[in-house]
This record gives sequence, structure tokens and C-alpha cells, in this order.
Amino acid sequence: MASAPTSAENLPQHGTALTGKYLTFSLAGESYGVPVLKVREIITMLHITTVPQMPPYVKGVINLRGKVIPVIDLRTKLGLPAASLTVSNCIVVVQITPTGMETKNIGLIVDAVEEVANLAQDDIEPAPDFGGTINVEYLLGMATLKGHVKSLLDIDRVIAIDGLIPSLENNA
Amino acid sequence: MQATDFSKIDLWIEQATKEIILSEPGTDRSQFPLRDLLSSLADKSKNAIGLEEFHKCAAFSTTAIEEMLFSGEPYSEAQLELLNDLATQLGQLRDSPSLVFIEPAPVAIPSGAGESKPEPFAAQSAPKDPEELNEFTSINLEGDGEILHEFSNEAREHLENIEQGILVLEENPQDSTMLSSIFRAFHTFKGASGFLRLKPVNRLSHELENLLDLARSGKLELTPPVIDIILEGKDILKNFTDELQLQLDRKKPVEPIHVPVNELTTRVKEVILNPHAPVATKPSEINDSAEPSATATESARKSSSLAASKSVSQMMKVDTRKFDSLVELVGELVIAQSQVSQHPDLVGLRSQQLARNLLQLSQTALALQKIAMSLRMVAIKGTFQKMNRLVRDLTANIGKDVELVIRGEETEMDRTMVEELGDPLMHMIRNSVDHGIESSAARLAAGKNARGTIRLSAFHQGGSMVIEIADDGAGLNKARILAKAIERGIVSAGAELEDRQIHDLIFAPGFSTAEKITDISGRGVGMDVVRQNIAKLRGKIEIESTLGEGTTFRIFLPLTLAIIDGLIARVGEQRYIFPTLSVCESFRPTPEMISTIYGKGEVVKVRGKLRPMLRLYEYFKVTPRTTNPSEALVIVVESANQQRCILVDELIGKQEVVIKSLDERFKQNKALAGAAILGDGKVGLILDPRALVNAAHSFESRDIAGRNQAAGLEPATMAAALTM
Repeated sequence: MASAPTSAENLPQHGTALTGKYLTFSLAGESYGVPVLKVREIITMLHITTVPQMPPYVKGVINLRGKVIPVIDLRTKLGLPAASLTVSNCIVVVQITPTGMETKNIGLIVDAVEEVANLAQDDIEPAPDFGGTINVEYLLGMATLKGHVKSLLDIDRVIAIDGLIPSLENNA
Repeated sequence: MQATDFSKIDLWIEQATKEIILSEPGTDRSQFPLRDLLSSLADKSKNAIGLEEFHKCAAFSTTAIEEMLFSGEPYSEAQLELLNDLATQLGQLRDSPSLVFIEPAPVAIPSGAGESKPEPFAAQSAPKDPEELNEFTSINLEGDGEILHEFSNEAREHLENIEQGILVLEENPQDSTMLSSIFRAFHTFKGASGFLRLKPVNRLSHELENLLDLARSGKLELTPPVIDIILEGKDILKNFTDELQLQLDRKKPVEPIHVPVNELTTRVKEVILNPHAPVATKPSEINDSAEPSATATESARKSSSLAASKSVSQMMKVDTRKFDSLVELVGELVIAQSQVSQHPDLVGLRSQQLARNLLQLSQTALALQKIAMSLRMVAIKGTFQKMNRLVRDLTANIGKDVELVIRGEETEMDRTMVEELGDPLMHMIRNSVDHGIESSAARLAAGKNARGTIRLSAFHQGGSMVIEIADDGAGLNKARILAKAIERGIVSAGAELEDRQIHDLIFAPGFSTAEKITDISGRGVGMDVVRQNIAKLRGKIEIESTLGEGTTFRIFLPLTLAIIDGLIARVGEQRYIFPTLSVCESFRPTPEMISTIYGKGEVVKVRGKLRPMLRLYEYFKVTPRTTNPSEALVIVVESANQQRCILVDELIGKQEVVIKSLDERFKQNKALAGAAILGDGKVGLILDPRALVNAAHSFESRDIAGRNQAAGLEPATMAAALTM
């Protein structure tokens, strides 16, 4: 993923730039956070219309008060084990600004929403290179809150590192 | 006291303006007469009631011209511009005493030739004709971006008004309201361009304004050559505005814009100098029209400003995003309303009051939706009137006598469609004039009226919009079309074609029957592009033609681009929407109707013809209710005259839906045209008939490879997901 579309210079540096409020949610038993300023709203699970011929993590589209927005299964997107959707799942609607494009809303399916946490500089440290299931490029950093570790997601990158359009055509 | 001699003042202003116009930088002509005129104006207006500000301006102008005189130098460009501004202000102050004189910035007395500052690009393209140099204007996007946008928007409106007005004037040169409205339009143009320092534009609009002013005061007759000049001027301004818009939208690099005004301004000046009409320089009309009584001018001014405000106040500009949100929310309201009304808990209740209230709610919601949708609609008038101009120009060019009869120009349709329709219509009208209508001699020989007629009409028919272009020309020559098509290899020799199919050949790419290519038509890029454009608007086009009697083109369009009339089909759990206009028929096939051609896929025999079949569940990889076609349903879709059978589980209804665009990431699936929110608030996907037809086609040719690709899709994307 050397050719990640977002430019690294624009990313906030670790430290003060990362402090602030985060919405935390759970995914496959782990806890994650996204900057609260990115979050438009949290809605309960509703009917998702499947869009054919899309990669597995693109769940489809929903009707958000008259607007049709795409929904992404964050478990699949992050390479976590898939689980069937239940009523306790939530859709977190985030606002992203892909490079060179207009701001848009995208829904993320998460297991459950936890809380809005205020993270101070001491709570946050850079993402370690732990080569596990999660690619560190997605991460703004790690936060420790009340003894629990939370991964802070750079949601623009999660969405932007897509790879799906070229790979489909290359492999066809 | 009241007897201020306005006619004198008017005359002097006019003479002074003329003097300034006729002065060129580098000469000292007219400095003396101008001084005299200006000082007379200053004297005359001294102590006149209502002319206080006018007097200030005149006095200032007198001082300014005296300074120039005494410097002993010829006019510099800046000085002339200053004088020009002053003269304009004089005119304005004379017309409306409520205005305040704005003192312009002083202009340096030229010392030699240092004054004219070279434009920045002059260095790069040095050997440019100095005459041509002043035809360039650079725009300052950073500083004036907002104003330029505004300017461009307004300019467009003004230009449209000008064009329509001129065409009216051509018919009836006495129409003084129209004349004034065109005059005002050029005047506004001049003011705005002066403010934005778009010099050539300013110069041209200024000259044209003067020309129209002469016409307004009855000193110039609006003969066809004069009208041509005004139209040409309008075209130059239009080209400039278009170019400006392109640069503003960043579709083109920002660079100085060339506005070729010199030649035309010279011509305008010539006309102003000696108007063709034998009107005396001191016509009595002036005294008639400019009544020396203040009340008369007052009331005239009032009525003209009333007329102006009347045409403006009825329109309102709204941000499209706000508008879209409104439409979206109204759609949601209607859905919520129907969900509430049909809620099982409520249905059980037997309350008359509740039933009445619910009915009231639903009626209001639907009325609201109707209004919201109609906000997008505009009359097709503007586009039609452009055709008037086109026919006028064409007939003058090629020497045919053709009359364009327009009907139904008040018919309303989606604003974007009206704009998109301009080009195809222009093509077709051109074709009709060029190929359809015969020369007058040929027409007379055929026993027809020497003057050809093209009827352009618009009307509603069964939920769609129809635009008809009917000419009484020679009609389509089937034999020649067929011969040409065979020659071009579009159809094979000996092919049996129905009349309709032969007519349709003119839409084939690369087809043109014109014996010689004129600059008007005959390049064979016309009609296929027309059809494409119409298809893009989700419409279709039909031809009806009788040899010797004429040809009629009928364009069928949806009323709006925002709404689509759709057939909703179900495949398994999913619902898909087919645009009704593209659906020919649907039926449940019997097993005998379906056969598999090895290596070619499946076909359905429909009334003796074989049509390839596409199983939608297979293509979209969803689980259907049944895989047996004789328990399912086939929908025959048509696109660009090709038909394909699409296999779905069942049809569940027909509904008008509001089209929502899908996110970028879904664009790769070409079969999806968009999404729509269905009656239950869930999202349905709108299918693109063109892509479906082509998909079926590629199945036909690639067969197994196509299926493999579909099957290979998941591993590919899995791999993509893993590399992340």
C-alpha cells in the first residue's frame, strides 16, 4: 500500500493534535475510537439494500432521511471475523473528505457504540508496529483509557484505502 | 423656474457623448467642442431643481477637460475613459435626480506615451498587432471571483433578453418597450464590465448602447443591417461570457480573454455617425418625447422601472443544495405520512376525526411534493426562441425561404433538460432547413408554397413531454438512405428492412446522405449524436416521413430528470427499478421459448425473433426465488434499438420515483443508473437499460469468460481486502 491516496503530511502528528473527544465503539471484542468531529450521527440498524458486484465489505446503501448513502461493514473492512448483523449493531455515520472530492457521508456498521471519551495527551501514544490483523496505516494512534486499550482510527484512510476499483479491472 | 430646457441638456449630453466616442487616444480632436458642451451643461444646470448632482458632475467634467486642454497633450486612453465615465454619469444623473455624483479618481496628465500600461501577456507574445492588444482583457479571479460569477450569471440572462428582444424588434421595430429593455440590458452590461475593468467588453457594450439609444430617440431606424450588428455584438459578448464561465469553473486555465470588438465597434461608430435613416439631426421627436415637464418624465420613469421590476421580482435564485434538501425531505415526509396512515395500529381504530386528519395530512403532503417537484420546471421558451434565431441565420446563409412556426413554448420541463435539449434541437432544425426543405424553385415545381415551413411544437402526452419538429419538405428518401447505408457498410446489401428501420438508419454513426458537405450539416456526426443526447436525457426519438410531403421528428422525454417512471421488479429479496420508457413488454416464458446456444448463452424466442436472455440473479449474484424461467418473468428492455430479455422473479409495481445518485464507489457497476427511495422508505436500485443490453451482449460474445469473470470477482476483491 505504498500508493495510499491520502498524503501523510496532512495527518495530525502524534501528541497534542490528537487530543480531544472520540466516539468509541466495539468491534469483535476490541475497542476503537474515531474523532467525534467526524461523526454526523449514530443510527440504529435499518434495512440495507445490497448493491450487486461490490466487495464484501460494502454492505450496500441506506436511506438516511432522503439521502442514499453507502454503508461499510467495518469488521470486514478491517479484516476482523465477520458476524451476522443483529439489532444491537449500530450504524455510525461519518463525514469524510476524500482527496479531490466533495465531503460525503458514509455509514459504518459497528458492533455497539460505547461512549464519547475525552482523551488527553498522556492517554495517547503512537501506533506500534505490531503486524497483526490491523494495518497501522489505519491508525491515528492508541489510547489507554481506564486500563483499556483503544485503537484510534483515521477514518478517512480507512475509507480511502480502497483498492477495489483497480483490482477488479486488473483481475478481469 | 421649472422651465429648465431639458431638451437642450439632452442634446448636449448626446453631442458630448458622441464627441467622446469619436475621439481616439493620441488625437486632440474634440477637446474644444467638448469643453464648450460641458461648460454649457454646467451653466444650464446651475440652480436647476433636481439637477444639483448633475451640475456637480458637469462642473467636474468641465474642469477635467480644461486640464486636458491646457496640458497641450492629446487624449490618453485613461483620460478618454474618464470622460466616458463622466458622460455616462451625466446621462444617469439626468435621468434620475436621486443618484449622487461619484467623483472619479483623477487621471494623470500623460507625459509622452508612458501612460498606457502594457498588459502582462504582451511580453510573451510581443509581435501582436497593437490594435489587437486592446481586445484582450484579463480577469482577476482571486479578487473578483465572486463578482465575476455574479456577472457571468447576470450576463447570461441579459444576453438572453437581448436576443429575444432583437427578434421581436425585427418583426416590429416600433416596439419601444422592447427597445428600452435591450438598451437597459446593454447598459447594465456596460456598467458591470466597467466596474470589473473588462475594457473591451465595456467598450463594445457602450457602443451598442449608444446605437440603441439613437434608435430609442428615433434617430436611427432598425434596419436589418443594424439588427445584424446588434446580434453580432451580442454574440461577441456571449462568447466572452462563455469563456469567462469556463475559466471561472476552472475548466480552462485562467488567461486573458480575447474579445474581438475593434472591427465591430468601428462599424457601430460608422452607423452612429451617419444613421441610414433620413432623420434630421434636430428632429422634432426629441421635443415630443422629452417633455419639458418634470411630472411627465417622472411618470415615464416610474412606469419603466415598474416594468423592469415586474420581470425581476417574480424570480428568485436559490442554492441548488438547499433546493435538493427540500425535495429530499418532502419525499421523506410523504413516505412517513403513508407509513403512519397505513400503520396497522391505526387501521384498527375507527375514529372519524383521525381519518379526516390523516386524509388532510396526506393531501397536504402530496400537494407539497407536487410543488417541490415543479420548482425545477421552466418553460421551454428560451430554447425554442434560439431556434428562431438559428433559422433566421441559416435561411439568410443558404438562401432558402423557411418559416419557423413555434407552438407550445410555454410548456414546462426540467431546467437541466431544457438546457441539454438546445444542442440536439439545433442539429435537427439545421438538418430540416438544410436537407428537409427544398429550394424555393424545387418547391414551386412540386406544386408547393415557395416558402417552407418548419413547425416546432412542445406538448405533454401521457406523462411525457413531446417535442415535434415537422417540416413540409421533401421527406426522407428511403431508397437513397438504404443505398447509402449499404455503401457505408451500415447494413448488408439485400437486407429486408421495414420503413421504420430504414428511417432509423439516419441515426447510425457515420451516416450522412447530404450530397455535399456544407458548413451547416452533412458531416454525418449529427443525428447519431442527437440520438445519444436524447438517450442521455432518458428519452427516445421517432421519425415519420412521407416522400414529397415532409418529415416529422418526435422526441419523447420524461418531464423531469429528477423523477423516473419505473417498473419495480423483485429478484429474491432485492428490488430493482426498470425505467418504464425502456421496457417493451414482459411475460412468463414457456420452456419451449428458451433455448441455449452453445458458446452464446441463452435466448428467448419472442414472436419469432431470438433475443438474448440475461438472468439478473446470475449477473448480480443474488439468490432468486426460483431459477426456473417458466416460474419467473422476462422483461424485454430496449436500448438503441437492441432488445434483451432480463429474467426476474416478478414484477411488483409501477411507480414514479425520485432519482438519487449513488456514491462514487458504486459507479463501477455500470448496470446501476442510480437509487430511489421506495414507498416503504427502503432503497431500490435503478437499472441502466443500456448497460443491461450491453451486458447481455458481452455474455453473448464472451460467454464462459464472462461467467468466469463474475465468479472470479470475489477472490479478486478478497485479495484487495487482504492487501489493505
